Amino acid sequence: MFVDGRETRRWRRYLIVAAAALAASACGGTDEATPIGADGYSTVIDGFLPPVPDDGSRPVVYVARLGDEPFPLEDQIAMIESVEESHDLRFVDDVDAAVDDEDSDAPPRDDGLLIGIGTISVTVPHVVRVEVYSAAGDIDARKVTLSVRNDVWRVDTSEPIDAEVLVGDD
Amino acid sequence: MTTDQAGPDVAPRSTGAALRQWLIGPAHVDRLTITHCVHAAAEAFFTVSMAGSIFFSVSPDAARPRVLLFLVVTLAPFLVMAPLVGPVVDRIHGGLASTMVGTFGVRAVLAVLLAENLRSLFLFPLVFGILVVAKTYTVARNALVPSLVEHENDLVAANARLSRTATFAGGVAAAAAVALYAGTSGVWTLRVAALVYLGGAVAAWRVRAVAPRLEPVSRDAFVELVRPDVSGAVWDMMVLRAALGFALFQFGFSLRAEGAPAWVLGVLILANGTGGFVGTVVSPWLGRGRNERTMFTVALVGSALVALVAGIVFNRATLIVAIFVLGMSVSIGRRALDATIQRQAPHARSGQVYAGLETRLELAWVGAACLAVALRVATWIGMLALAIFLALVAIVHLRRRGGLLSVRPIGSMPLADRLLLRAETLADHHYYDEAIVLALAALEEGCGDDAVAPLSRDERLALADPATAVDADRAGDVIAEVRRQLDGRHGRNDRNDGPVSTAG
Repeated sequence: MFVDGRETRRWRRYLIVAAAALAASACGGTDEATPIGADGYSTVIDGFLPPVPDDGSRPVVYVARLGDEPFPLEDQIAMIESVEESHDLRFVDDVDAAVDDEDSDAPPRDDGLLIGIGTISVTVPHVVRVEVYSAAGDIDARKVTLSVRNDVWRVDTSEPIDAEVLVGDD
Repeated sequence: MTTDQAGPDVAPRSTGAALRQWLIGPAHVDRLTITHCVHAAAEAFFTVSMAGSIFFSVSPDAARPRVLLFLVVTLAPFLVMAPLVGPVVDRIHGGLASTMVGTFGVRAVLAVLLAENLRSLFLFPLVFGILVVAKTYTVARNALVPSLVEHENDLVAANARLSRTATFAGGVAAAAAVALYAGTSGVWTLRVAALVYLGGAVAAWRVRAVAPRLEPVSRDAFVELVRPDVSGAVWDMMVLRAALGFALFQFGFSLRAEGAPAWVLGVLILANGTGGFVGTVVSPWLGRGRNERTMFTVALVGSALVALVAGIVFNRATLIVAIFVLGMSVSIGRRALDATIQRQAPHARSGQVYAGLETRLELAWVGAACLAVALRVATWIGMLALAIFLALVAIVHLRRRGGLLSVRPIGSMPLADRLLLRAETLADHHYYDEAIVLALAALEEGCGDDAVAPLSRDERLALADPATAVDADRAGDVIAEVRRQLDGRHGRNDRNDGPVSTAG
C-alpha cells in the first residue's frame, strides 16, 4: 500500500509534466497566425455576403475552408467580429455540418449560405478560390484576385470558374 | 441501508413542514440547501448564456487546442493546490463556508466580465475560470455537508436532498434563463447570472454562521479510506464522474462538428440533470435491502449497456437516453458512495479528508474531459468508446466484487498484518516515524526472535528524537523489509495473501 502511495505521487508528477506538455502543445498548433491574416479573408467574404433582410435579422453564413487546415481561432473570431452587426458568421470544419441533408435540395442550414474559401496565395497577385453554395446544383465558384495597400485589402477581380469542392448532388 | 431518511431530530407535524423537510431539510442543513439551489440556478443562467457565445460560431477543431489548454490549466491547480489548501481551510473557522462565499463572489465578477466578452477570445479563460471556481465550490460544499448534519446517519439523506432540491431549482431557473435569452441575449442572461451568484454569496455567508470548526483529521480516517470496499467505492465513483466529463466534452464537440444546433446540447444537459434527479428518487428504493456495492453494480452495468445500445443504434433519441441513464447512474453512485463512507468510514467525514476525496472525483472528470477534447471522433464512435470504457470498468468492478464477497474480515487477519497495514497507511499520509514504529512492532509480533531488525539500534533510538527527520524512502524500505520477512515467515509468495475486508 505504501508502495502504492509512492506510485501515486510518482503518477501525480507524471501527470503534472504531461499537463504542462499538453498546455504547451495546445498553446501552439493551429493558433499561429496565417501568412495572410483575417483582414484579407474578411475582404473576400464581404463580397459574397447575402443582403440583410428588411426585418433586421442577421442572415446565417457558414464558412468552410477548402482543403486546408481550419482558420486559426484568432482569425475566425476577427472575421466574425468584422461582420457581427449584419451577419451571423459560423465556421465549420466539414461542409456536411452546414448542409441540411434532410431537405431534398440540401440547402445550408438555417436558410443560410455556405461559403467555401481556399488559401490566399502569399505571392502577388494574391489569388484565392471561393465557392458559394446555396443548394445542391446551385454553386457559384470564383477565382478572386486581391491586392493590399497600406494594410488595406481590396478585391480586384472575381472570375467565374468550375466548382471543384462544394459539388452538390443534383 | 437507508438512503433517504429524515434526521432523527426531525418529526414534521404537518404536510407543509414535511414538504419543507423533504426539500430543504432540518436546521443548519437548510441554509446549505438554499445556497446550493442558488448555485444551481446561477449555473443554469450561465449555461444558457453560452448559447450566445462565440464558441458556437467558431469551428470545433479550431477551438479544441484552446479548450484543451484551459482544461489543463484547471487541472493543474487541483493537482497542486488541493493537498496544500485543504489543511489551511480546515483550520479557519468556517473555512469551507468562506470558500463557498469566495467562489460565488469570484464567479459573479467573472460573469460580469464574460458578459462583455461573450463574442471575443477572452471567452475561453473566463469560462474556464468559472468552471474551476465551480469545481472548487463543489468540493467545498460536499466537504461541508458532513459537519452540518446533526446525526452521522443523515449524510446520505442530506446529500440526496441537496441534489434533489437543487435540480428543481436549476430546472426552474433554466426555463427562466431560456425565456430571458430568447427575449434579450446571452449578455443579459449572464448579467442576471452574476446577480444570482451574488445572491449565492449572501446565502453561503449564512452557512458560514452555522458551520462548526472542523476537527483535526483523525488518522483512523486514512485507514478507513483504504479499506477495500471504501476505496473501491471511490474508484467506482471516479469512473462515473470521468464518464460524465468525457460525455459532456466529447458530445459537445462532436455534435457541433456534425452541425447539430445548440438546442440539442441543451436537451442533453437537461437529460443529464433529469437523470440526476431521477437517480435521487430511485436510490432509496434501489438501496432498500441491498448494499452499496449493488448500487454501484447497477449504475456501472446499466450505463454501460445503455451506452452500448446507443452506440450501435445511434440517433439523437438513443443519445439522449444514454445521457439520461448516465446522469442517473452518477446520481445513484453518489448516494452509494455517501452511504459507504457513512457506514464504513465515519472518521473520513472530516472536511479535509472529504475535500481530498472530492478533489479526486473532480480530477477524474477533468482528466476524462481532456481526453474527450483531444479525441476527434464522430459522436457514435465516442458513444461506443464510452460504452467500452464503462463495460471494462463494470467487468473489473464485478471481478473485484466477487473477491470482496469472499473476503476474510480484517479482524481475522494476524495482528502483525494488521499493524503493517496501518503502518503502510500512515506512511501513505507522511507519518513516516510512526509508520516505522508500527512496522517494527508488526515485525516483532510476526517474527518474534527470528526477526532481522531493519534498523540499527542507533536508528531506532533516533526515532524518539523529534528532531529526527524520517524520509519517505527510509520508511518505504523498512516497510518493504518487514513485509518481506512476514511473507517469508508465513511462506507467502504473493504480497497480498488474499483479499481482505475490514467489515466485521
